[in-house]
Amino acid sequence: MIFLLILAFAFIAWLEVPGMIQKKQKGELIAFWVIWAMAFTLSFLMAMGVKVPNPTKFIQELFMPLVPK
Amino acid sequence: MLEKGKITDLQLLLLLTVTVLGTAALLLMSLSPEAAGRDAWLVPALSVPVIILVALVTVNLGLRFPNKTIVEYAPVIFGRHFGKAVALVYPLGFIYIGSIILSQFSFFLTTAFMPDTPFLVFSMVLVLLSAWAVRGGIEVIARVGQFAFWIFMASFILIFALLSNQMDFSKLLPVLERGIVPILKPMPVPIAFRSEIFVVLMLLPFLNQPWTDLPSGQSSW
Repeated sequence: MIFLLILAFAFIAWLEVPGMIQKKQKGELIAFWVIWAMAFTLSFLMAMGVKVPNPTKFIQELFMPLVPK
Repeated sequence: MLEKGKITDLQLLLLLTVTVLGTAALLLMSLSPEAAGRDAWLVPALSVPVIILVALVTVNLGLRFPNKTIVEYAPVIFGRHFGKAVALVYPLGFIYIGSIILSQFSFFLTTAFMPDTPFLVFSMVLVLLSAWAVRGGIEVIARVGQFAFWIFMASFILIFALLSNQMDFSKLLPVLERGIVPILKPMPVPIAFRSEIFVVLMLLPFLNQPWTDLPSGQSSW
């Protein structure tokens, strides 16, 4: 499972990164790696069976005062 | 990858319709009847003026900064540092909404059509399709939206037409039996749902016609 995950993420990086390096798009490259790292961390933790906190809870608490009950 | 594609205004309209209806058709009607009961149909109907207000705000924002997306001009509005934070919230928001729609789609298919197929299969197929479409660029997405709109509308009209002989509109009476308050309570839900049209802030720069060349009287209503 983890091997497949690493393979998939390597494939995505292999698809996207060379073109961006060639065109010298530094900002895009940084954005790509940040999102890539986020996605990889989350999927890796999920594959390992770690409980990942859900951002919905935070957003719910943020907007709860706006919802009349 | 810098986006170079251009879409027409009709494509944008159909794309937005599909975006909002796709999620709303699945969830919206199941959320409001709890509080509003028989008057549940009034909740989405009465939220329309508020949505129009949201649409006017988004469109006017787009008019002020032609050829730029919200991520690019947020620092201009909110100042350098806070603007960067706001600009960061938008991509995160898109990821978040995308994941919600993804799980909605997968849950819907697993509960309604194929209960024995794993949840992950639908999610992976949809993610691969979306990634493929994104690599194709905005034009591909707009064309898919254009294509999907008619399928969506045809099925919608078909369902409505085939059920029309069983509809009994007298069951909707009496309207507003318990006053207006039970209707106003679930109001934020449809408003939040249809406010999904804020994606237009990312799409306006890709319109092929210079739509900001409106006469000055029309540009700021």
